[in-house]
Amino acid sequence: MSKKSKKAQLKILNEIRDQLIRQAERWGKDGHYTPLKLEEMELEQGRKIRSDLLTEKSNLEYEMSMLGTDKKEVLIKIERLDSYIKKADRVILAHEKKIAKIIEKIIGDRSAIKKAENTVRTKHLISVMIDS
Amino acid sequence: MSHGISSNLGMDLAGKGKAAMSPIKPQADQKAAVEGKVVTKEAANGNEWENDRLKTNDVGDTAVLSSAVDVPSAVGPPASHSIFGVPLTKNLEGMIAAYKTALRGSRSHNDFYERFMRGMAANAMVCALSLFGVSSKEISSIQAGVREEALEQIEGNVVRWAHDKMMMEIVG
Repeated sequence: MSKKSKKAQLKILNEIRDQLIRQAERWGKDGHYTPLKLEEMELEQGRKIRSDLLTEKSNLEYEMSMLGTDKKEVLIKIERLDSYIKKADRVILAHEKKIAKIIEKIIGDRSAIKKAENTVRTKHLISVMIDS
Repeated sequence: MSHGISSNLGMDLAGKGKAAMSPIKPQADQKAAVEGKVVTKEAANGNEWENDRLKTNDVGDTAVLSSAVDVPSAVGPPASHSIFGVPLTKNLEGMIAAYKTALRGSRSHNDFYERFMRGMAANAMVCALSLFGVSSKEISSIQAGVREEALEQIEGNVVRWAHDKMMMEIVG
């Protein structure tokens, strides 16, 4: 697929997403489909696709070893699936990074939060000296 | 007798204007038929024919507007009424289904047609349903059901959208 057509498809998908979000808002679900939620959904679907590809690969391997079908054809398919699985891994990793970035943006500076958390959780000990 | 007939006919043929002003008498037609010249007069529009030629009268004087109306022999049921294109039926379930469709359309992403037009239709349907005897409680429960269904559908569509996007990113 050319870069231009890919861009056009992405544009259409973004338009569909906007329309769906607008519809949800009109039904009273304001702010339900946040960028984080959408990213999580994409990640989930990416993992699902990856597992489907792995299942397909194992099926082909089984077919090749047990049923004795055309080995060359099956090997080509497996090779193609391997490349798709690698790409799926890369895409999943990119989405995970994106999600981490969004969370970071929401939370803010992590070290400052940890410092504040420690301050809140610190137990102040009072030592009392008793003279006998 | 025959001389009289020919002279009478000669007068008619000579003056076309006069013929237009004074229609040929039936006696004259009979006399013309005897002479071999057929002069007929159409009763409906007043045109006069002489052999194969139509006697041209002043159209402005003779033009008549006419219209035909088909009156059905058996009177059928009255045409169904509708609110903004939503048919009003005697069937309550059909009305509720139409209301659900209108309500769903009223929350569309399309501002002009769906949201405005369907919104008006949905509001009108609420009035119609209340006239049919549906209580406001029932109407609100219908609305809640439609909302639930619509949100489920949106959720499913968003999941499908995410799947399509990932497939595009992976398989390309």
